[in-house]
Amino acid sequence: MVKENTFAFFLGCLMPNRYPAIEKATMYVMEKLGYTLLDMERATCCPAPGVFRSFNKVDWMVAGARNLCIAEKLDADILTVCNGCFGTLQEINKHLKENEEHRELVNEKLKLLGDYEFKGTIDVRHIAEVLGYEVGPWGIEEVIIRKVNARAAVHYGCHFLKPTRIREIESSEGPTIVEEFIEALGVESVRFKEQLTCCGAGGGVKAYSGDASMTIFGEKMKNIDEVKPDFILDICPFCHLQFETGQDHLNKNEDCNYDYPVIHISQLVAYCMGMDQKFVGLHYQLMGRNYIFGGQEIKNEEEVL
Amino acid sequence: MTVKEEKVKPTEEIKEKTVSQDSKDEEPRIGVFICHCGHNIAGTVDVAKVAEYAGALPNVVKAEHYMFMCSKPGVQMVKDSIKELGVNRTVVASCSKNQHGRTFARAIAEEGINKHRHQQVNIREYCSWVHKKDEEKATAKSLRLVEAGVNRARKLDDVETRRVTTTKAALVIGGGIAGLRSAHDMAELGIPVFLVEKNSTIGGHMTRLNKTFPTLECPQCSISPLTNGVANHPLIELYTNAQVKSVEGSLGNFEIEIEIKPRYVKDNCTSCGECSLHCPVEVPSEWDKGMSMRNAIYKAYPQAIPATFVRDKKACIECNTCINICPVQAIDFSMQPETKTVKVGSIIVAAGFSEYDPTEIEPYHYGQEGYEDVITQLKLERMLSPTSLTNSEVLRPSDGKLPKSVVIIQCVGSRNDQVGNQYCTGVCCKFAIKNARIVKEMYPDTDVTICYIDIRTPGLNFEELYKSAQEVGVRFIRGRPSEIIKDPISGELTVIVEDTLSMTPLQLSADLVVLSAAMVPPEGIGPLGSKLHVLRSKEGFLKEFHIKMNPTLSSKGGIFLAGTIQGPKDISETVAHAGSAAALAAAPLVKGYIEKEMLVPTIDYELCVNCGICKTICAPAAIDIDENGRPIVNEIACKSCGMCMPSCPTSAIQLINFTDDQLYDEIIAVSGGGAVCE
Amino acid sequence: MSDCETSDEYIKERIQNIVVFMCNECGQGSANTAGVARMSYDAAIRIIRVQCTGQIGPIQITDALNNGADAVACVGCCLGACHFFNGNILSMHRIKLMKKLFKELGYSDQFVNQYTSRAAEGETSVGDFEDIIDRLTTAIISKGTIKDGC
Repeated sequence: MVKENTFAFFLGCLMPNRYPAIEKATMYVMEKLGYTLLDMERATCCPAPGVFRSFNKVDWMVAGARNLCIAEKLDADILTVCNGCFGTLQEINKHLKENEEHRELVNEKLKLLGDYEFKGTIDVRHIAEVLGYEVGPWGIEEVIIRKVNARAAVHYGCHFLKPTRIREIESSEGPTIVEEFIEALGVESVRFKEQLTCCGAGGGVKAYSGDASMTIFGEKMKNIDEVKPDFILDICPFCHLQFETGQDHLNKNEDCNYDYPVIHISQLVAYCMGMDQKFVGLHYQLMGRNYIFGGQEIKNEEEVL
Repeated sequence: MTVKEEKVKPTEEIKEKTVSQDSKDEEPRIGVFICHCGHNIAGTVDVAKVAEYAGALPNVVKAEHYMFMCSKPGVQMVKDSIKELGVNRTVVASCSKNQHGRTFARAIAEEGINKHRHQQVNIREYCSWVHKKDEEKATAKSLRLVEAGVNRARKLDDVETRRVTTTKAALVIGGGIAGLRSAHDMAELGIPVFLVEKNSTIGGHMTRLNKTFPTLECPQCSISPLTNGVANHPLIELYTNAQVKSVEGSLGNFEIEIEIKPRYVKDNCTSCGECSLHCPVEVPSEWDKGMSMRNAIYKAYPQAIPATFVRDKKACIECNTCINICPVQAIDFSMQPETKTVKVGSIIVAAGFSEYDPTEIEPYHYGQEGYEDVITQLKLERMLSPTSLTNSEVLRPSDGKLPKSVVIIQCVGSRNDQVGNQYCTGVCCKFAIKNARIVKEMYPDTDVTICYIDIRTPGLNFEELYKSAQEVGVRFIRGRPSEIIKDPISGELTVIVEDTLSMTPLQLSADLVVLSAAMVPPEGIGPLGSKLHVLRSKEGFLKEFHIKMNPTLSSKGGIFLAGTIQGPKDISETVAHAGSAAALAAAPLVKGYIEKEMLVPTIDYELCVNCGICKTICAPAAIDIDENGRPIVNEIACKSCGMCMPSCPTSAIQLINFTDDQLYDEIIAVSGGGAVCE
Repeated sequence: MSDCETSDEYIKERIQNIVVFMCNECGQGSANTAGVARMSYDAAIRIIRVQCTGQIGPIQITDALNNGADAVACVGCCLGACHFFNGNILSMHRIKLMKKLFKELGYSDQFVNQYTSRAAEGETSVGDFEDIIDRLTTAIISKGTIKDGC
C-alpha cells in the first residue's frame, strides 16, 4: 500500500535545468494542497519516450524501471509534471506489471545496477490529472485566493493522453480535463484550429531536424495567433521549451512578431493559490516578460471547509 | 430449455426396424468380401492372402475374394451369404464408403438386415492406389485394415430410421424484404406462415431508401406489390409490433411464443389520419432518421403496411383528442400486450441488419455537438426522399443551406481493425456512387468527392454506374480520411485525407460529410439468437451451415437464415437468399415428414454425474437438461458428430456405432494389437 | 546416441504404424482424392474414419499408442469449415493438452498432432502424413517415443 497524500516527485531533465520556476510552483501547489513530496535520490533521465525507446526498447525499460524502483522503495506513487516523463514511466510501469516475461528480463538486468527489483507496487501520476480529477475544479476553487480572468490557448501535448488504451485518462480526440479545471481559476480556454497537434519538439524531431520542428510549430503558432489568447498554457516542460524558443526562432527567422507568454499549469495554479507573481518566473522566460496576471481577489474564509 | 414431451408430440413411426432386435445377444456371423477391383486392388494387394486371413478371424463365417464386388454377381454374393449362411454383419473391402458403401448397405437391407450392419473398408484409395511400389507393405496394411473392419462389424448395432411428421406451418422472424419474400414463397406452396415483425410496419430498410441501384428505381414501388401481397395473403398471419419470446422444440415441430405489444388502435382503423392531424405532440421520426416529424399517434410513413395507426405511449400526453376525434372509435388506450403461441415446422430468421453507428470513430466526430453536418448515408437517403423535411433537397442540417461541397467517406466501420470489423460490407461503394451521382446531377455546381480505399462494384451494370458517376463530375480520391476538423472560428468542416495515388496530403473543405456506414448485425440479435440456440459468426451475424453449399441453413436443423442476418448483401442477393431459405424450409413441410437416421448418442445414467458439459459442447444444441438436472438427447436435433463423447468425464454418453468400445476394437486392429507396455 | 540408432534404416524400421483419425468430411475426402490421383505415401499410415475429429479424445489417442501405434494424427477440416462448426477446434485444444501431458511425462511431444486438409486437394492430406512422419522421426531421434520410454 502506497503512502497516502504522498508523492515521489520525479523532476526529469528539462525542468530542473531550464525552468526551476515550474518546480517551485509545483511544490508550492502540492504542499498547500496537503500532499507531501519526497525527493527521489539517484533518479535519472526517465529516459525519453521517443528517441531512447526507438533505439533499444529493453534498455529503455530497464532505465525507466530503475526510476520506478526508487519510488517503490519510498512507497509512494510518482508525480511528474512532464508529458515525456509521464509517457515513459506510466507506460513502462503498466507494461511490466502485465508482462511477466519482460518483467523477468528487466529485473535480471536491474540486478547488475544495484539493489533494484521492479515489484509493480506503485502508480505513475501526472499533475494535470491529479489536479484535473483528484482535486478537481470544485476542490481547487476552495483553496485559491484569486481568479485570473484570462483567455488561454490550451496545449495538451502528445504523451499525456495517448495512447488512450494505455493511459486510460480521457479521450484524446476531444479532451476537456484541463479546460474544465482552469475554468475554476477564471481562465477561458479559446479553441483554435488543429488544437490537438504536436508542438513539434518531441520524438527526436527537434534534435534531428530543427527545420521540420519549426515548420510544425510555425503552423501551430499561426493557428494560435488567430485567436489572440492572453497566454499559452501547457502541461509539459518540453512543450514549454518549444513554445518559448520556437516563438523566438520564428520572430528572428520568419518575420513573425509573437510574444505570447508561455505558462505551465503549475505556475498558473500556484499564482492563483497565492504565490507571488515574481516567483512564477515569467521574467526569466523569453516571451511575455511584461505580462501581468492580475485577476481578482476572492475572499476565502478560513472556516469554510 | 427443456423439451416437454407432452407439448410437442408429433406422429412418429419407425420406418425401418429389422429382424435383429436383440443384436447384443445374438451370435455375430460376419461375411467378409475382398474385392479385386480388376487390377486396381489385386495388382498391388494379395487379395487371396487377405481373404484367407480374414476367414480365420473369430466370428467370420465366410471370407471370399472376387473380381468386382460392386457388380451384380458380386452384390448377389453378399446377399446369398445372408440367405444361406445366416450372415448378419458384412464387411466389404474395396473402394471408399462414399462410392459403394451404400450399394452394399442397400443390398443387405433388401435381405432384412439393418443397413447399418455393413462395414466398408477402403483398401483401394487408402491402400492399393497409394502404395503401388510396396506390395508387401500394402498387403500387410490391408490385413490390418480388414481386421479392423471385422472388429467393427462384430459390434455394430441396428440404427433405426425414424419418420417424424412435421407441423405444416412456418414462422418468419422479420418483415423486411427477406422476410416478405420467403413468407410469400412459402405461402404460395400452401404453407400457413406466421410473420413476426418488431416494428409497427413491414418493409424494413428497403422502404427507407430513396432509389435503388443500378436502375435508380423507387424501392417503395418495387416492394409495394409484395407488402400488399403478404398483408392480404390468406395463408399469412401478420404480427407487427411483435417479438419472439420463446422457442421450444426441434426441426419439424417447434412451439413459439410471440409477444405482441399493444398498438392502442383497433383493427377497424380506416387510416384516415384525423388523429394524427390533431395530435398536439410532435417528435422526430425514427423511421425517417429525424428528417421529418411524426405525432404521438402516427403511421410511420404514408404507404405503411399495416395501415393501422399506432400510438407511442411514451410521447403521448393522454389529452384524448384522438380518441374523441376518431370517426370509427378505433383508439383504445386500454389495450394490453398479448401473447400468442403458434406451432410450426420450420423457422426462417430474416431479422435484417443495423446501420453501423460511427460515434465510436472519434476523429469523425459523428453525433457530437457542432458536427451536425456529418451524417450517414441512410440520413442522406431520407433527405432525398419524396416526403422529407427538406423537400427532397440536400441541405446542411446545421443551417439548412445548400452545401457547396459534399465529401463522402467510404469504409466507415468496415475494413477497420480499430473498431473490430474487418469485413467489407460490399454494398457501400455501390450506394455511395449511386447517391453521389444523384447529388451531382441535382446540383451541378456542388463539388462531390468520394474518399475511398478501393472501389468495389462487381456485377452487371455496376462498373457502368461507376463510370457514369465519373462522367458527371464526381471526384474520386483514393485515401481514407484521418480526421474531420472544424475551424473554431468559422465553423467550417475540413476533411483531412491523403491522396495516395499522387501522394499528396489534402484538406478538403466540406459543407456536408456523408459517412458510408457499414452493415452490422441488428440490435437485439444476441437475445434472439440465444432463444433459437443458433451459432453466430465472429462478426456477430448468424452463422450459416456451410458458406458455399448451404448459406441459408443455420447451425440448427429447422431454422433457416434469409437475408442480411447472415451477412451484408444487397437487395438482389437478399431476395435470392430468401428464396433459397423458403425452399429449404418448405421441403419437410410439403413432404409432411422428415426421415432421420437415429445415429444419436445414448446416455448411461449410472455413469452420468450431471455435470452438463455435454450440453455446453453440443453445437446444434441437441442436449437438454431436464427438471432433475439430467441430460437428455434431442434425437431430432442431433447431428451425429460425436463431440459430446470425449468431453464426458465418465464416458457416460456414447454415440451409437461409434462408442469408445467399438472404436477401441478398430484401433487395436489398426495399430497392430501388440501391447507396448505390459 | 550411437550412429546406428539415427541411421535411416533404423528410423525406417521404427516407423511401422501411424494411426490417422480422419473426419468424415474433409479428412477422408482429402485422402480419397489423394488415392484417386495415385499419390504416394508411406504404408505406415493407417486411416480410421470417424464422424468428426471432435469425436477423438485422449482415450482413443492413448489406446492407439498403447497398442502398437508409433504416432497418432488427427486430420480434420480447415478452421472455420468444420461441418459441425467447431469440432476441429475442440480437437486442436485436446491435442495441445495431450502434447503438454507427454512433455511432462518426459516423452517427446511430437508424435501426436492435429492437422487440417481440404477434400478436393489430395496433397493436403499427403502433406499432413509426411509431416507426422517427420515429427515421429524427431521423436525417435530424441528417444522420446512411448516405445523408448518402456
